[in-house]
Amino acid sequence: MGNRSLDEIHNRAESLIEVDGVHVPLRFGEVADEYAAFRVGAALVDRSHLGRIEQSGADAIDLLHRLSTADIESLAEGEARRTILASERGRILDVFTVVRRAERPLLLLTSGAFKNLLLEKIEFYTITEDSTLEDVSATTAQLAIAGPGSAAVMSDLSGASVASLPAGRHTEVVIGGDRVLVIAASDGINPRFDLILDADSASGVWDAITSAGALPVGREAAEAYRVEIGVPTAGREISERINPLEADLLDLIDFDKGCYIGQEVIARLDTYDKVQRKLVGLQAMGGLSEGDLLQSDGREIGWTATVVDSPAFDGLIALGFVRNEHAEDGTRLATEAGIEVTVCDLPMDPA
Amino acid sequence: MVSVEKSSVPINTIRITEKAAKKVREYAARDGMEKFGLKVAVKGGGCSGLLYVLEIVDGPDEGDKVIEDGGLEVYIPKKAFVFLAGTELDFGDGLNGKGFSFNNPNAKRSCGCGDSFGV
Repeated sequence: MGNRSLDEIHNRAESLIEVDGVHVPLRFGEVADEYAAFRVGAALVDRSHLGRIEQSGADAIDLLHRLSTADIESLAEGEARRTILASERGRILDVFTVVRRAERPLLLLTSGAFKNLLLEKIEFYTITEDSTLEDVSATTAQLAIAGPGSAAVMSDLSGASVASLPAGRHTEVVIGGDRVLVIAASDGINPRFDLILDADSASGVWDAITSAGALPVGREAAEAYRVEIGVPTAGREISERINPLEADLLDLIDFDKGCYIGQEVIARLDTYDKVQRKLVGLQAMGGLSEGDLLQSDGREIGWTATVVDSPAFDGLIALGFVRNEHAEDGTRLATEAGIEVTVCDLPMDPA
Repeated sequence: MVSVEKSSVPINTIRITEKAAKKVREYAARDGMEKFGLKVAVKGGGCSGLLYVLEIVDGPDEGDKVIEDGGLEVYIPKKAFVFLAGTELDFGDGLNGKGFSFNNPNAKRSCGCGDSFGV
């Protein structure tokens, strides 16, 4: 795999890293500057390693509505909505965004880690329905403009009406002569625009966005920011080990829509307050690795999922899961190796 | 606690109990249908992953497996039959009756309402 236009972007990076079998830029310059773009500027991120699937057919929406946690039936053209495909046991198989376009197939934006699982599961449950899936990840690119300055960049590129699109809405624009689908989103702190385009257009669109003032940012800074704001990601915080309530994804569940796969278990967890562990931020006083077990008084009460070196905290921070009784801000825990770890509320406050 | 009897229906067919067949005829008569059959299918969804679909229709669709049982024609889409082979369709009435119910040997799990199952 590989696309010449995406390669051109990657050639400008100082270094690359492989994520889910695909190369992504690790950093373009100083990590501290790139991190600052998320907090006080506009960051431009290549997210093409994520999965993109087109779903066509008359029953596509009905099928996704029946299978996943969000209300997909009411999704209108011009809207995008995140939803969860859960297992019968109420555990997360994948979190993905359904984008409904006029006279085009649905676009499903998913992770790189769980794309094949999502394809496999939807295909399994397509029995007599008119629904066809096509993996378009290799022929399309995905960029994101994030940070408080992202609306100004978007306005410069496509005008004020696109820049002021509310989260969950999308539109098609032309950037540098190429057609780009712009999906307005939010990371909970700042606005973000997800851009889907033909892979061959990637470097041209990338250049137009940097000319409009966004700073190219690699994965290192993007991951540091993600951990601080507490966004769970596939293969780390999101896995079949975890249910949606533990991962703080309550917003993606419609409790009034009726049945979907896993509904009985998820509704019971919510009604009887049966959720036993919680996604938290963690600040380490020493070496920390992903998958480290966390202890309190020698008893195992959680684990770390993503560990990053944070410019704002000037040290290692992490996202992880701990049992509810140890989830309060300021709780002191330790790894098996005796490294002290402090629990922090999400989003973590670097101030 | 719901006890589930093991179905004794051969694996190459499905069976409709007399109670269920009678109820289907009642519904067809109410709708004024003279020639009809029962479509039994499966679709993705429900708590356990798959949902049963019952519909009174005027004939089979192309590719449907056609079975006759209890004097009733039953149409099953071929792709749905793999999930339904050996199933018995029953009907329970009364205030606490569960309506149409499926005793499906392929179902490893069923949800509380009985409308959904997993394989």
